[in-house]
Amino acid sequence: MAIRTRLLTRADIERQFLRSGRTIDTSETDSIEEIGICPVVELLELCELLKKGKLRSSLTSLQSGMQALQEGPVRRGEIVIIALDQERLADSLFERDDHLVIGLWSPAANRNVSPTHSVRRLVLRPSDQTWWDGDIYAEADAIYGVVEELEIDTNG
Amino acid sequence: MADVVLDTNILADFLAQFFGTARRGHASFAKQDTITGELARKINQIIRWHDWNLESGEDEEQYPGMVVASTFAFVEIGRKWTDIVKGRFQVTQMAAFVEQPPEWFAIEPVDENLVVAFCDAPTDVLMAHGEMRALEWADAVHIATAFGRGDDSLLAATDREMRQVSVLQDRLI
Repeated sequence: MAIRTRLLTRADIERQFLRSGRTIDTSETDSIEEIGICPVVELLELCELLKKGKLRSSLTSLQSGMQALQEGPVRRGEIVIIALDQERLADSLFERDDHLVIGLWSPAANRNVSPTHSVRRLVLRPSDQTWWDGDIYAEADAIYGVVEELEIDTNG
Repeated sequence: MADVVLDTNILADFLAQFFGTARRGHASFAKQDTITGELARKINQIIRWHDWNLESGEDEEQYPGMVVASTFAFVEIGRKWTDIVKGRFQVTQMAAFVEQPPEWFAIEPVDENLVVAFCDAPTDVLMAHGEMRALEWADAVHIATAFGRGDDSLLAATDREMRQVSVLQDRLI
């Protein structure tokens, strides 16, 4: 059976990382039908909102959620946090022509894009190395890209 | 050991010297732009230690740590390329550095461990004249990167707000 991948929405992320009293259901099997993709920047933004008191939950709930994730709060592999590590940075930040670097990748290396959305685009940029559905990049861009770029324009 | 974490502007000035007068670490770094004399000495000490141990296989001096920057700092250089880099190095040079940094330089990921450290970074800072100022998201990433490198790691930062963060006072260079 093919495993589907899906971009986690902000509501999904809040539900997964901020719910209290989460327990592991040991009766669950190891079979996975769908993997939720969570760009790391969504967790940083969630953390920022909590620190500024803009959500009802507390920062402690996120810290508990992060700890639970590291201990396996959900079935293994059900959520995958996509990080910006050295390898992904090297793959994504640069535009290449037949492996030769010919410049910066403008959708992310661009002052008109917010820092958070730059990171989001870099981690989700489709390449030979990405194993998730290619539509996830477009989906994230549709959800977050326009809004953030407008915010930048508005603020000057 | 005490790693030294560079923020975006200092990383750009570091790369400018690395590809310029410091000849990819074969010559000394010097006080210039945002690189202070103290930071240049620290970088030179780190390089010297690694070079010595690479050649001799002995470690007579105490391990001095590594020079560190977050992947995010490279993204910020890319976003503000013209203003920050000012023609001092090429995109291809930065790409080569990212792909294969020197053995004394670590590129730290933005990952779930950073999120945990990011939770501990403040959102507001009390400035010297008593005014509360918001700490930018990007600055908090550099602070979290320093937190993630251990309690004795140092942070090289230019931003005025970052330099006022109380928990960093003993760790600024």
